Amino acid sequence: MSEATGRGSRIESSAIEPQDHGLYLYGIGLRARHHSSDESSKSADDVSITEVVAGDLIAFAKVVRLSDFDEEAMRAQLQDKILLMEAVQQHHMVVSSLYQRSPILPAKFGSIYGSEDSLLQMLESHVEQITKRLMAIDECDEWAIHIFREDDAIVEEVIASSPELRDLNVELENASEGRAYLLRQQIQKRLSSLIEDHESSLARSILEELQEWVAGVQIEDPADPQEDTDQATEIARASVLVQRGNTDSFLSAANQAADARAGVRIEISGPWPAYSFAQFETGEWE
Amino acid sequence: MSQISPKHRDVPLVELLDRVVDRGVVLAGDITISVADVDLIYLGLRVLIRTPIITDPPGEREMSRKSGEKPDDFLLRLRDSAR
Repeated sequence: MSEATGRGSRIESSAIEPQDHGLYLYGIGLRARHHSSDESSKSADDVSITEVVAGDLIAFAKVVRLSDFDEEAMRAQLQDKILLMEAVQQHHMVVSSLYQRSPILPAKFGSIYGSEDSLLQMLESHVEQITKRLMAIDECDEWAIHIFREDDAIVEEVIASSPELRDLNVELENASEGRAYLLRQQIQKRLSSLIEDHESSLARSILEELQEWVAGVQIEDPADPQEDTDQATEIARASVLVQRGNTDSFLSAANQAADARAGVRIEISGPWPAYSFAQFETGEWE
Repeated sequence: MSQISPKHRDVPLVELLDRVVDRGVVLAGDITISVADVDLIYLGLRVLIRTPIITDPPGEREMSRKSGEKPDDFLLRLRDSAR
């Protein structure tokens, strides 16, 4: 339950003894953007939300029993993957529900504070960084981009565009056994390097085409090639921040970028709360 | 050819896991689940939702060009082993 003014909130839960109270943090928003008079805002995805106010910031949390998170309980929970997955999904649904109402910095899964004071202390000591991040994600959604390249298509393109590789291959046909061994090694190394360059250039060109509609980009490592199962390789992966007013243009540009390139598939998922843009930048963390 | 799948609710689990467990703001609290535990959760759940793919060890693949094999086919096989 949040107070109308000032610092802090009161935790009320008859089911949990006060000394065993803790707060599971879902996210942090700007108090001015949150309409606390709205009773429906006190719950999200059927989870009762406690609001903790610290100056201009407001944290959204759930009261939890700390004994559920001690070493023994955690060890047991780690064994139950289904229960954990449900907890992850619930975390996301609550964060999404809050995010739809006003911008929040989503907290990392499992952020639990032993007391309201400890949460308040953390908020108050990072007001500037949190506010800066919240301004950066305002009116934005996160979208995930995966760029795939059909395996056969890329090899054909690389071979067609490399006279050097073709020359080596011709030389291989007439080479002695010893020389052929060395040439095979050389071809293998060169092919691998050319494929890598080609994929990198392709991914860069696609992301550049989307840049106009994007407010922020986080480049991520693509999936391990061994995880690809459909004769296509993920060559690039990114999370982007898109202003809501630019969503249609962004999706349309992604479609066009894929259509303009044979053998390219772009998968996009979203809109997500800005999980990938919630962390402080280097130097922001004390 | 493109595949755009906007609007979530039925979100890919791996995507969900990458975001919820591996990202988000971290303001260390006094009883925050430790980084090691969160990593364990992340890895454990990734294993749960991923289908294992079994591949041949790269070193055991045939690297010689087979009799009658076209150069491009050989390059394709070399490419596969180089990945």
